Amino acid sequence: MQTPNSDPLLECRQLRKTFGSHTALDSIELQVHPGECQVLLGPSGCGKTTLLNLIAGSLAADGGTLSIAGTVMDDPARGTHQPMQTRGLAMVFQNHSLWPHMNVEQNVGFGLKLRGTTSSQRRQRVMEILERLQIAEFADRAISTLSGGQQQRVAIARALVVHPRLLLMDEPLSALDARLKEELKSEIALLIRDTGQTVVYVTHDQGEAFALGDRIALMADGRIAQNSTPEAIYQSPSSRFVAEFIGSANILAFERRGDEIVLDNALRLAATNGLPANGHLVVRREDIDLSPGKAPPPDARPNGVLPGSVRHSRFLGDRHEILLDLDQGMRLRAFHRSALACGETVGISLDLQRAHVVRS
Amino acid sequence: MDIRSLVLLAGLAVGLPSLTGCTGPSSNDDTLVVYSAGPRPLIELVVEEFEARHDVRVDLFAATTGQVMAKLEAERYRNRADVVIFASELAAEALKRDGRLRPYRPAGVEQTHPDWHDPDGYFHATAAALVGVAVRKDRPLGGSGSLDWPDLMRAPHAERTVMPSPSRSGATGDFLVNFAQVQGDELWPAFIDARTDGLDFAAANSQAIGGLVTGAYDAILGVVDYLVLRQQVRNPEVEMRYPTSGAAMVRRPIGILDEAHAPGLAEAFVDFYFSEFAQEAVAEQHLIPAREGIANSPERQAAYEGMPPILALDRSQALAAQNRLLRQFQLRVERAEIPRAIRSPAP
Amino acid sequence: MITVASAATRPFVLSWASTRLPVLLVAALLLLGAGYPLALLFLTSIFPEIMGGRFEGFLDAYRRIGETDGIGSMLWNSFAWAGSTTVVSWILGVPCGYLLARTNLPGKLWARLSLLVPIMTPPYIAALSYILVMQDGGFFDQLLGPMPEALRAWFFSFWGVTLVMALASFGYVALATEAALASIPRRLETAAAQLGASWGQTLRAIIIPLMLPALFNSGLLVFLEALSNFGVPAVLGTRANLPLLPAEIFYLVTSWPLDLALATALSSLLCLVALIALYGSRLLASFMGGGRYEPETPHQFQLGRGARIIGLAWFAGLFVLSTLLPYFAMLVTSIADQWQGALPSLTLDHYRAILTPGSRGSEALFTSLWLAFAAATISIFLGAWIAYVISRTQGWLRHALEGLATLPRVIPKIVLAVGLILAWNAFWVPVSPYNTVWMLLLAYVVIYITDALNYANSRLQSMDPALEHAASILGASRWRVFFQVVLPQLKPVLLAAWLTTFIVTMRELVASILLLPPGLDTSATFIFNQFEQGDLAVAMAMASITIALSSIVLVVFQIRSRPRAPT
Repeated sequence: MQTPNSDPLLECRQLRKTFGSHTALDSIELQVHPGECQVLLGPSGCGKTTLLNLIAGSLAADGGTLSIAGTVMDDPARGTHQPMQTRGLAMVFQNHSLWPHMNVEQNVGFGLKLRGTTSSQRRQRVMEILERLQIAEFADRAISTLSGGQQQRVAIARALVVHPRLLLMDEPLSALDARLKEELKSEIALLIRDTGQTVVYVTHDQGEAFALGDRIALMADGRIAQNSTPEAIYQSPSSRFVAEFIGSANILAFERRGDEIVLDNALRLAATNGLPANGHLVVRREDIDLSPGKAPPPDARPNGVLPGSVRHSRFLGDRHEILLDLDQGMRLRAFHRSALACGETVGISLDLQRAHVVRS
Repeated sequence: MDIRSLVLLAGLAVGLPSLTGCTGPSSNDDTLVVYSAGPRPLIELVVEEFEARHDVRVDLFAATTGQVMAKLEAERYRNRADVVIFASELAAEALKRDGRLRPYRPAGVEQTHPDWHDPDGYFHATAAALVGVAVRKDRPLGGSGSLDWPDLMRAPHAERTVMPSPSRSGATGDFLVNFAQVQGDELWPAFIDARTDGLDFAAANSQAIGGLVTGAYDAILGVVDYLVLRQQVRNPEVEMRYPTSGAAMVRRPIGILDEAHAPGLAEAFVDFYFSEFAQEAVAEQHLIPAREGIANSPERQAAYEGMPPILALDRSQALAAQNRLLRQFQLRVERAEIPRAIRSPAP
Repeated sequence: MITVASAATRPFVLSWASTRLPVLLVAALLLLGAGYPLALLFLTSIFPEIMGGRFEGFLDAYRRIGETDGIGSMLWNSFAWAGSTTVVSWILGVPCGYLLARTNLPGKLWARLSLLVPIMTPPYIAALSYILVMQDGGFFDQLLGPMPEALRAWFFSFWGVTLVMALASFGYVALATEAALASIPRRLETAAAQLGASWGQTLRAIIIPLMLPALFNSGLLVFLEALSNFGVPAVLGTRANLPLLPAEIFYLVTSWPLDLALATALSSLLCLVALIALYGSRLLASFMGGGRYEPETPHQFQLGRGARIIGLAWFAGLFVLSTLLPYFAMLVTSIADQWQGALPSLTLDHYRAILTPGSRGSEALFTSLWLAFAAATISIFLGAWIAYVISRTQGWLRHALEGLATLPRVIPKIVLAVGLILAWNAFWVPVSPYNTVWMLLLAYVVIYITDALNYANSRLQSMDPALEHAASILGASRWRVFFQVVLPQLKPVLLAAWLTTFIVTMRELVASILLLPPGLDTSATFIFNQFEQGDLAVAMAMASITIALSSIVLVVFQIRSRPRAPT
């Protein structure tokens, strides 16, 4: 990863796209630096694919500017829209984007052929990238004989072999089953770090976003809600939406009353320093400590321990997720080393120091 | 439309024809099945009168000789027809040789031309017609006084001449067989040249006559005269001519199928065809009635005096040659690929 | 189910037969409908006397094909003509499909409609109308002055007949091209464009290869249709000096001197070619690959002013040639009385002659109407059931039944009609519908049930058998499951199948003309007979009425099905 203060390879300023009366993208500010992997994360309909299509050039922007390597590609105010042929990009699609009438080698070699390489050069470079992706043995196979995972490997090879300035990936793993997804995810991560390829990666899966992204832009309703490193977006979500989307956090409305805070209008806890008058408290599951069989008496909670009972216990492999019932119908999710019996009473202590506060 | 109403419709669709009497003929003993080559008005009139007189039902299949023969051939092992009437003697002869006719001597046959019938009594001619040439009075050929076959088969007249298909029209087929006997080997080059010069073929006599009436053609080669005489009543510019070297006489025989389901009725029908009533109907259609003493139609009487010259015919030789000849004619002349000289503009 | 206990005690054969009753019934129906006539046709072509129970003259008919002059060139003509018709249809149709799928051509709805009209118009009527326009003293001469004789000679020749047939069939190619282009996902083009491929390179390297299967299939359809078309060669062939196979078979079966054996031999050859074409193309298609994609809004090119005018002119020109000109000739002829100078005096007599109750014309029309109605109705129910049973069968039996069921679609209609004549005139048939109107109904159902089968199949493939299992588990009988679970789901496609079958049977010519019982006409044979008798005005009046009736049925269906979601 190169220094972030080098010139950005991709720069979007106040980018806007409308479809009829619907505004699909608004005020998009985005900078991607060489060697970075920028993830566009968000629920479906948030505009992430539209943004990718604007970058690719298959859609034209309605406002703002979009430049690649310093060249303005889209500037609707000046009537500029460069066709996608000239942008020097490559794209990996969700699925079914390979040309079914060509075999693997022909698919991968197509871009090189357009660039006028000799057939021996082409063959050599195609085989190199196929080997890198462990699909060299399928070089002569027809596309329809490959599995979904193999097809995506071919699609990645086809995009990488031309060394694009910018590689666009549009949910490349979402059509694959869980095991293949894991396998290919780490492979892509290695590949783009090894090759120093600049990538814009669209996904709705935060696992992929964390595994691959140098930066994650979380999008909602056509805007970027937060764009920062994976750690920052996890630990310091800028809004309730971000907090809810990233990780399964417990989000509790709170109000400060003197030296106490009231959670969800029901539970009182001793306040810690630095809390604003009201807002939402984001408490991660790993920041809740459970003491089985040690429920405090109902009115004594000076140390911030709350009484609760186990509603359900779910095994996750390395730990258990416990769903807890608290007074006043409140519910929390927490991690615990071992399984807890249903109905067992527990003492619940929230680590408010690690909790993050977002304003309402 | 829901499924229930569709089921209802299906029932209706199948039930409807039985209600409206559209079902096909059933083979009862009191039903007579007649296959007849044209003219349709004649056979319809005869059938209607026969039905009335005998209080029976007649199922009629009226078509060209070719179609009647086709039906008989298809039904060879499952015969349905009782009586057949052809426009071609040779077709009847072929059927007789296949053993599919039964001999019968119709009542009143003694009042007909004896040499028109099958000597063995398997079929009897009900009528006759002459095959010649039809022209338009307002076109060059119409003006020429005497007219012979070659006039129509050579440029410049061939390109405005049409001939009914010998395979479709029984009369023209008989004429061709007869003509081939007279012409010998010269028949082929003559017809191939005529085709090169623009001779057209029409599906049937009436199509050719239609072309003559509208002016698409100047002349018809090998047309049966009764149809032209009928047309003359409405279109006086059309005229029937008989070539100087001879017209062909074609007879229209009637016969009873060997496997007839209602032989009694069939015999009655054949008898009826030679009755005065039926024979007058024959004359009304401008055919030459078989029964002597029935007058030709006024148009026919006006067309010639006495009898025009007739081409000589060796019937047994014609019979032997006809199948091969007609097929050869189809493939070598009628439907062959013969490059045609480009027409000169219409006058 | 309930029979488990008793099945174990019953003899094996009986229980096998009872569980497979539907399959056996379907197999029997298919064999009787299409398999038996075709088998008898082949046998007769090999043993000409087999219908009489004799095995004489082994392969005689085939020997005669080789020995007779003219048949070889006729075979060659037939293939060349069908081939050229296909190529001309491609040339006319592919640009239409491209314009519809990939450009912003204005008025696409009308453009699409203009393709449907010639598909709906029976080719023999178009051919008749063209004769009226092009013949000596025809409409061209009357209205535009004498036609150059070279043009007339060109029209009444191989290429003129090709043009008439291609004008009747290019719509298939256009619609198939449009559908194929619309189903190619945009990302396949985007991927190429991003790698730097220009529009031309994308077209050449991606779009054209991907469209090949569709082009090939539509071409095959046109080829088979042309190869087996009887009406156009019968109407134009002799005038154009172009002897073609189906017409020849027709003449062999209907005109003097007859040669059933030769007809069956030629039919078998025609059949063989059709089957080779079909299976060859399937084989080729499997080599060419081509996947299925979910539909997507494809990319559309913005046409400039000039390109838009050229595009519209292309459609307009084809519309004039394929529809306006023949329809004009048809309608004018049907109301023309006496030709004096350029324009005729007008009369409705020809229509009156047809529509007068009790006239031959009105009877023919009525026969056609109820036959089409009955055939369509029977076909959709029987077709739905057969498709259902086949779709729920497994293994080789399914392949066999599917092959048998699609056979009538490929076999030229004239061949099937000849087969049916033989099959139902054999001495061993106890009760024969031959010579009754039921024969025609049987033929229509046998020939056109494939439409209903195809429609039903397309829906059945996306239908979950779990729905039927759910009903069976609740104790519903097989018939109940079919009528109350399966049929309602098939309803929309079956209505479409009904409409198609109704329209095509209304205009069916060749099977009707070969199988008609004595004294009966359908509207199509009425038109053909009137043409043969030279009474074109009445023929054209009947053609107008038939086309109008079909159109009315079509419009009524369109209006009734509009509020529903498209299927």
